[in-house]
Amino acid sequence: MTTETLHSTVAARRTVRVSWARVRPVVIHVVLAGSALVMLYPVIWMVVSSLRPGNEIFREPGILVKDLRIENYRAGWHALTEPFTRYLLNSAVVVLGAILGNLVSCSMAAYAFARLEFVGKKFWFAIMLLSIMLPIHVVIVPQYILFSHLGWINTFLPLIVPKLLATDAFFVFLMVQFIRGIPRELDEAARIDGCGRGSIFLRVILPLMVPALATTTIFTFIWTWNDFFSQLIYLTDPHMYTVPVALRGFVDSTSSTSWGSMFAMSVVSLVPVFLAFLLGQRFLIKGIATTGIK
Amino acid sequence: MRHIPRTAGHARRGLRALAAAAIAATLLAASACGGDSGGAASSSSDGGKVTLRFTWWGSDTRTKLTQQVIDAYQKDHPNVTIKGEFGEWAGYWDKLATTVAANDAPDIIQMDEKYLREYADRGALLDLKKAQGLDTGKFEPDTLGAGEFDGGLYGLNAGINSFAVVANPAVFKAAGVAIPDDTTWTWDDFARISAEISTKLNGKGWGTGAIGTNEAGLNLWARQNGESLWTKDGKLGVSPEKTTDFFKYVLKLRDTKAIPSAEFTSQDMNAPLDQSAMATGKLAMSFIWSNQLLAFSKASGQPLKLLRIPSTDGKAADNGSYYKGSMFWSISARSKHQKEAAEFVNYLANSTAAGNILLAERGVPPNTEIRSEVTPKLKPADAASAKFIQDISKELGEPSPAPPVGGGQVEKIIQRYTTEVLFGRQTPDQAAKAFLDEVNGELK
Repeated sequence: MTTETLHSTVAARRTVRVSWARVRPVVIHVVLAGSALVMLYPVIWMVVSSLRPGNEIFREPGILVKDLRIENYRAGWHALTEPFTRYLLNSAVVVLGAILGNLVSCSMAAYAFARLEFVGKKFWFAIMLLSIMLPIHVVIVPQYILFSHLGWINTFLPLIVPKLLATDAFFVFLMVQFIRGIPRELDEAARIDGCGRGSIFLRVILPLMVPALATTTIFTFIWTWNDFFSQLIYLTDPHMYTVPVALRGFVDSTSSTSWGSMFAMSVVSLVPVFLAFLLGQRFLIKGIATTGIK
Repeated sequence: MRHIPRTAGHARRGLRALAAAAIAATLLAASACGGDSGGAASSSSDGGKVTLRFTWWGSDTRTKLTQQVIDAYQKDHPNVTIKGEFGEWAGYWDKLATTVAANDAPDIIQMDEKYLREYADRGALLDLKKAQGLDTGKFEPDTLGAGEFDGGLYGLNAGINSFAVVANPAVFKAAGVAIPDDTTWTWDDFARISAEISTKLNGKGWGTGAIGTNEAGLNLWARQNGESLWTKDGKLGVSPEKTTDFFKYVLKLRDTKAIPSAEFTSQDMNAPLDQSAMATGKLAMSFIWSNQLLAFSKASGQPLKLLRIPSTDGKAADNGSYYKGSMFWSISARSKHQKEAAEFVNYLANSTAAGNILLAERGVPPNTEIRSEVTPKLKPADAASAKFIQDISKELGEPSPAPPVGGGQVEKIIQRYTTEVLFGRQTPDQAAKAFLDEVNGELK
């Protein structure tokens, strides 16, 4: 009798526990999916609006779309002075230049800060960190004067060349932290095998810091792709416009805006960022995990 | 965890170096502003060839039309190349500020009333009276005043505007109210009719949008009472008493439900044009600039109608209306080709060829000959605003002085105090006093 009750209560408890264990992930997923939906709502709304005729966009607030229309894409692609392909290409040139510049220059600067000894190293490191804190508005006018004296206005050079000088201090810092995590014994082993500073960097450090390089690539991609202000300032000719600058061409606060075309082209311009993130996500998380707390 | 203390150490050292860097940055900025006047290759000439840079803001339609004018001009003047630079409103001013500070301003600048005085006072704009090859003889006399101050002409009117009431006949019809006679109506009529419409529509719409959502309403109110928002010497010209009256009137509109709720109004103030209550057919009337008629008509899908601003005494000639420059043409004072730039501005303003392309995109042309030339070619809504401008030409008051430096902020400020009054957080006289104090604080 007693054993029987005991058995049954244990069984009951077990079923409760088992059912909760089964329900729990469902609840968690519903909650997570719900909040993801709330976060994503503006993006979903934009995608849906891009598939609607322009005059319906603000009249119908919902996100249910009755018939798919791709007119906005067709119209938006050719709405501005140049076909949108041109802006995408321009952005691609700037982004690629910036990525290459950052990868080469930041990794070298980081190696110097992390491994080499030179006069005033700590001072320069502090200066580098400070440059992260300078707002763009402080430096934009002097920079503009410099570049306009060089005759670089309306070229991609002001957007790319500074990256070759390791001006993105954030990435230098990121890589310094990463290199500091690589055991010095590896350097010493390489030195015994006859490597100089250059070979250690190229053959030992660089292959080991791929996650940090990937993080840099992805962030440079996203930040440069979305950068509006400096591209607006330096590019004056519509042939040279990049995606963010061109997108603003759809908006004009003093008259009506072709929202449909703008949303359509915004969706188009989101695709590369989305893909970059999707493909690089693995590296990104690895990179952050290995450069931060260990 | 190894790295954390090290980073913190660097950050602390970084803080100590902050002062040094701040000083360095200030020096850099100062040397840039005070900087050399050598200038950059803002425009280059070789062998009689001149390159001008021309900048404007606006929609894509404007850009296409303006580019057509540039192409036509270049065909007639093979030695001149004009490079168009354009952008939307907010980015435009950031970019202009940067290029002017860096001494690399475009030669021809599309300018707005809000910033005209600011740029002119800093010596960035050329006095167009001294420019060769620019003729203003055919301009309607009242239209030059807005770009003129301290004895110089710094902006040439590129299109005329007037503050007006816009009416949606469909909403009037839905409410069963007749559109009033705008040549004789008073502010009391306006309030009464608006309240009547709101009552009849019973929550589905309202009589009018609030007045006080921009400074032009207050300016007209002041002008009807013998004052003016700005004085010619660049000061605030409206008294606390009249401002209090103005806010009292706003309150009266609220209490009679002539305007939507305070919550609704404060949201509507910042809505883009095509999402505003007027454009979406929720209001029978609202206050707009006459050249916005086309945009509002398009957005609402209704043929809207312009009405005169009500007056205090029922005489339209006393309603204080004036021609505002919807925008201006300015020439950079540092331009190396001022003569060529002036000739191009002359072309924009005085040639029928340019007029026929641009039509009323920047507002009704101030040159009377061009205006009569283009009026028959306008779209219905633009033709209506051109006719409105023509109709009120006999009823105008003095030109309204351009806002002083710092006056560009007044729109945001009055919106805030109108909101305070509408929500009942401030009484009209409190709001009037605080509003005037704040605007005075902005002026330099």
